Amino acid sequence: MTRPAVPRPDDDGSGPDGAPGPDGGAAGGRFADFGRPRRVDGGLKARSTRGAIGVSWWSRRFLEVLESFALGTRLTRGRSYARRGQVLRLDVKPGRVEATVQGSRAEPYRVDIALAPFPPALWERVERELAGQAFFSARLLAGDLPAELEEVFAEAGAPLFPAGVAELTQRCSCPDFAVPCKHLAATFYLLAEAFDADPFQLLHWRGRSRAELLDRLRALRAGAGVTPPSTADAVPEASGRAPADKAAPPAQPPPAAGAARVLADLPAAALDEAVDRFWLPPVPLPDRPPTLATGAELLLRQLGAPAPAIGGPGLLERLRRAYRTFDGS
Amino acid sequence: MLVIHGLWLVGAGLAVWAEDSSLPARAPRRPGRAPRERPHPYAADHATLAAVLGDVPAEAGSALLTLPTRAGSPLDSPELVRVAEPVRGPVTLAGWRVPVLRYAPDDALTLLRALGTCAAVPGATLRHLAGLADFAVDLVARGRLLPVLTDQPHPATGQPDGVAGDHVRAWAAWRPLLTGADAGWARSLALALPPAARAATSADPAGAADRFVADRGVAAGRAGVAGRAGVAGRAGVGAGPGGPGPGALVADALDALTDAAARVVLSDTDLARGGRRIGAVAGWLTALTGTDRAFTAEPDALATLRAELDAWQRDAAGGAVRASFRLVEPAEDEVVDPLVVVPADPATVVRPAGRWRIEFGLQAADEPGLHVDAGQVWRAPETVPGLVGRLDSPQETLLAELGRAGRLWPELDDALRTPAPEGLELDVEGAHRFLRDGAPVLHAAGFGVLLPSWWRRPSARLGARLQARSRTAPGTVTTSSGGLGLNALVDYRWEVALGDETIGEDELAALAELKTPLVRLRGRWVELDPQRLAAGLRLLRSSGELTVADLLRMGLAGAEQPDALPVLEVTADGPLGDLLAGQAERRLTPLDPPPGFTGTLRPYQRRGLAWLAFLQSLGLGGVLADDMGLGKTVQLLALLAGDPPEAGPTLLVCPMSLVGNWQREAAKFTPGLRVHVHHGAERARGAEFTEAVHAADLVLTTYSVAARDAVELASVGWHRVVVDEAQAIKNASTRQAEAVRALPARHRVAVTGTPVENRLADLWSIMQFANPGLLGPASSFRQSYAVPIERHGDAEVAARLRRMTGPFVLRRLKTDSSIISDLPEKLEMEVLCNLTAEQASLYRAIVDDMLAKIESSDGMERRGLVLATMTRLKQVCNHPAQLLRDGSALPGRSGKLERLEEIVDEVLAAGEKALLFTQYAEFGGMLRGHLSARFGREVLFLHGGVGKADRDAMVTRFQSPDGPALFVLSLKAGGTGLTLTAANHVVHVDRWWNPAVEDQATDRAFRIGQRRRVQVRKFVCAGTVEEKVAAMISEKRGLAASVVGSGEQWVTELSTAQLRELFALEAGAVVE
Repeated sequence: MTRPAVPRPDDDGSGPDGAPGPDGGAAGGRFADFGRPRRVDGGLKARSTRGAIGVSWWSRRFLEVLESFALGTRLTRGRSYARRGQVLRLDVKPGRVEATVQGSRAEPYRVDIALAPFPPALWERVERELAGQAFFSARLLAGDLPAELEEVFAEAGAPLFPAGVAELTQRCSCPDFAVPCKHLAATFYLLAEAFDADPFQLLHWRGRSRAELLDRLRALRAGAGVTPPSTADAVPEASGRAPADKAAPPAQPPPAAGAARVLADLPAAALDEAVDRFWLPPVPLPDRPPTLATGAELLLRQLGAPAPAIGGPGLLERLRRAYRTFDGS
Repeated sequence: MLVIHGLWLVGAGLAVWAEDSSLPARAPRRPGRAPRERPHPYAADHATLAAVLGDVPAEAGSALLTLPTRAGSPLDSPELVRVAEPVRGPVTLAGWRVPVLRYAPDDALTLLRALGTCAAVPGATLRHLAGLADFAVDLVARGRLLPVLTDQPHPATGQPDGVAGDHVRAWAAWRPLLTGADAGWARSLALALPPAARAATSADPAGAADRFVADRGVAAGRAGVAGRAGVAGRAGVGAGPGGPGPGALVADALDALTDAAARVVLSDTDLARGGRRIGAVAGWLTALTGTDRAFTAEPDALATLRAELDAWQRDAAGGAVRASFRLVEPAEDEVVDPLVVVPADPATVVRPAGRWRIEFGLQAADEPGLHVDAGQVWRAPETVPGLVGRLDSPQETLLAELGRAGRLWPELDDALRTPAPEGLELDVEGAHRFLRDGAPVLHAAGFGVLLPSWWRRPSARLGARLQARSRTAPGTVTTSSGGLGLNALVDYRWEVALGDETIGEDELAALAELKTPLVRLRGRWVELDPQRLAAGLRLLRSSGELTVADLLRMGLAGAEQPDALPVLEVTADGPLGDLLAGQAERRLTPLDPPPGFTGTLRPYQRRGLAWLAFLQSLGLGGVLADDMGLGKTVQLLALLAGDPPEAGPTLLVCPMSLVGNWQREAAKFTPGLRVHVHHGAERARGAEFTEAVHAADLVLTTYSVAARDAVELASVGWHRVVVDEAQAIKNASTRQAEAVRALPARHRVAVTGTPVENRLADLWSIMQFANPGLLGPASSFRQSYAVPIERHGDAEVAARLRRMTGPFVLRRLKTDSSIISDLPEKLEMEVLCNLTAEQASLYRAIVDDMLAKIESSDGMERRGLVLATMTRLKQVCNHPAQLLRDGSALPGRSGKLERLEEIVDEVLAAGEKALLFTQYAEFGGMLRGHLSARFGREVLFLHGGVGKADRDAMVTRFQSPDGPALFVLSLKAGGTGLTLTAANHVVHVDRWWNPAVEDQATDRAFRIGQRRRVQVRKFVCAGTVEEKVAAMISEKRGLAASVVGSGEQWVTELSTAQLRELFALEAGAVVE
């Protein structure tokens, strides 16, 4: 993402009034001493542009902890930092989240949020529970954090979400005495979005990376009497992954829309190989296979509503107008 | 003539250029090395292009094409027909600059969809691109597309307005979502893309000046410049050194055409209506309709929109490996409860028990045959065969797939409470819910779904049977008129059936009480739908009377309302019953031909005659659609011969090329029939016409005259109207079809050799002639039958249509066991063709001119003149353009060519192959070009100039199952040595008069390795020297057979008087 991020003095989502602020948006203007952040290119940016950050129940749940303790302008500023892309780096590790946030000074601040990882014994208990029901892995791998998972941790005596800020050790290299400062708050918001996109990140923070967790669950499934664990199975699986301390998010598939997805891998036939059949199909066109009779709206039903950030169910209804028209065509 | 070709320019749209046969074929030779680009010598200029392409907005320009080139000139496309001297030399690729008209995607869609009405011959490239446009329109109609945000400027986007403040420009677009069969079809289209469609050189310095090139970053970032009116941007996508590959090109075309097609449909829709018009989302919604795709918004908001749209759409297509769900019914011994037995005491009806099961598995998305059970994934993931390499972690893939499927069908979660689920146990209600609701949703979302085969089979559902009893005494079949007719009344009553079992009212009520959706009945599962049960109970209480036409229509009804009972069967007693059972042809006693018929009929032809007579006795029309070569003409003539003298005349409408054939066949087989030909400029009118018609038993006319003289022809009370080559009226809205349908007649017969039942619009139009109203209005027929069958492959609807039309269509194939024993191994036919008026006047001119010269010459000179006359007469019989060598257009000027097209049409429709022999290489070239353009197929052409390697390659390709279906051969080059047994049709387009040579050529197909019967057709122009020589050979009259029949030398020995007799054009040669 190389588009210039233009900081705006007030990002309350009131719409594109288009007029730049009095300082012209340049860093180091006369408000710099009052905390005007330096402009950042290529920072991590919150996806939502207005309202609350965090879509899924689990990321909301996580932010509730933060918002219940820290009220006021620092949160608001943290949120707009997050949206503006002031966070340069976000790294989730077992027990720690490290971030670099560009503030008003030239040197970015280092942010560190520590949360005691669950002890191995506890993880093993939880993992046995999780391995017992394919439901958990299925939903996690499909990108959901099932509500039952929270219960599993609760029953193991280890609540998945911190009960309060006291459990968190928050550090920021900025001079602001308040905790959380806006840099910490921005980090929290981006963290919530990271959890949205990949719920495994939350578990990683609590001590188990995605790869580790999946490897252990697989081994437990095998041990649970399906068959004895085959090392030939486990070893290449594990070695084929990213190192365990790096929670590799699932590889993003190419966009679903567009013909290139299914046509990209066709052989590129050079023209000079086709001299003798230049004008005609190189292979005859077969009969067209029948297609399933479905209503034009089925696709929308399958996809559900998009994120609230771009209109949620309301956008879905607007698009539905188009698909209804397609159906009648 | 003009052959128009299409190029797709990635990121820009369509460009069209054309070859013009009236321009010189050769580029001027220049000394020295060939330049990098030269002007194409015979490409049409802009004005010519614009004249044929109509007024779709276009931009004039030029393109540098890479074209096959031989001896310093580009090679003609196969569709271009002209007489050209063969050129030798190696074929290379060279650059040629051609004038083009460029169309932005919206206009390209308009042009490609209207290609059928274009005056010029569209080449394979343009036809292929039109296929892409059709596909795009179909994707839109089915909603298989997604709205996206792109930073690639749309080619139609004009000079952008200024961009306010910190806003940046973006573009909204609709993109196809290709899954399953659609993905396969897109790949087929890409693989079959003619290379000529990507002949435009991507590195085109001269073209670039008036063409696009807009850097992506510039377009997205700098306000005000997003490329010129044409085109921008994506030139880099997949562009290799020789331009984009077929995949990249088809992807770009399909994307652009889908976007254009969606906007056509959405022209009156405003997606942003009723909301605020500001912000990125509103701008994007507005830009999704109309022609202006651009909008502006803040970069942050755009980034959010893009990211969220991607996230939202991510699961739409699914990955390379998908979960599969197979529903398995309870095992036989598991169904312990007493089964429902109908008819039975309602008290014994018990709900069936037993466990249903959905079995999980994984399958490759693009190859559903690659399938593994979940059990294997859990126990031995490393052994998952075939899927290895497609996924690195089978267990996690399966889990993720199950998680996603659970979102669509939450009941699946119940199965996931174990460590390694292999399936989901269901009770009968659950199974039914899955069948009815879950399976379609999962299938549509791309998951593999396998259901028991009985599901959605008509026998597994409640249906209705309609029983009719005719009011007239159950009739003996007679050929007299006064039959049943479509308007006769019959009594009817309904029966309700489950599969084959009739169900009484009590049982039906008891089944309704069960309130179970699935019942096992005599070893088979059937679905009980409460609404249909109620509908069944209502039907049982109704009865009454209706007309035969309504009775027949009832059988077709029921597809529209979901809660109506489908009509499983319509039965009747008496002859109507025989007809409805579709058994008439087999059950009727074969009819002996009447005394007026002088030929003999094969057994199947006598059955066909009985069928025609039977339909006539019922007052119903029929479609005689026997395979070509089975003798439809003689069956018709035998039927005509049986008409009583007072019946009145039969009108036979056929293509011009067949009039002579009918005349001669009638004279041969039914010499007693009085035949009147109503055709030509001098045809009878007014009182003269009425008199001639009433003095005739058979009136022959052509489709064009039938349309022109519609009023006059409709004023006659025809006993019977027959349309031959009925595919001529397949397009219901043409004047010909309307005129022919409007002719009043007591009996109607359509004759066709092409399988009408596979082309539903054609079937409707032909059936509308034979039995008006039977299939209902065209629009509802299309909605209820054509769309479900052709677009969705709905087998049930297809079966219902077949059941209802079957009684009226008699189609027997050469391969039917009841036919094949009646047929000889090799069937030789002389096909009589007519001359057109142009051919006849040329013919007469040649005869007059040459005879004068012959008279005043002798010796070698006379001999040479006689042979030259023969040659020129035979050329004019083939085609005026062959004689004149002027490269003029071919269609509509030769009776032979027209007849050949009809025969080739039937050969291709039957999926068979043909050899076409001519002794003239130049005519072979014309045939090759004309036929490949006319049928859009590759046509092979073997002549003396083809080298051995090329010849062997042609033979191999022709013999391969997927190879070209038509092979034109010059008699000299292809008459000996080759094995071409893939063909079972041989046509001798012109004659060598040497049976040994012709037989030798025929034997290319009729030889060891040939497993089918071979049909040999020898073309002869009626009333010309061709027919007279043919008659001499067959009758061995006047001259010794050994002399005639060994070439043409003997002709030179004839006296001038004999020559005059031989060459003279007989009356009746021309039908026009």
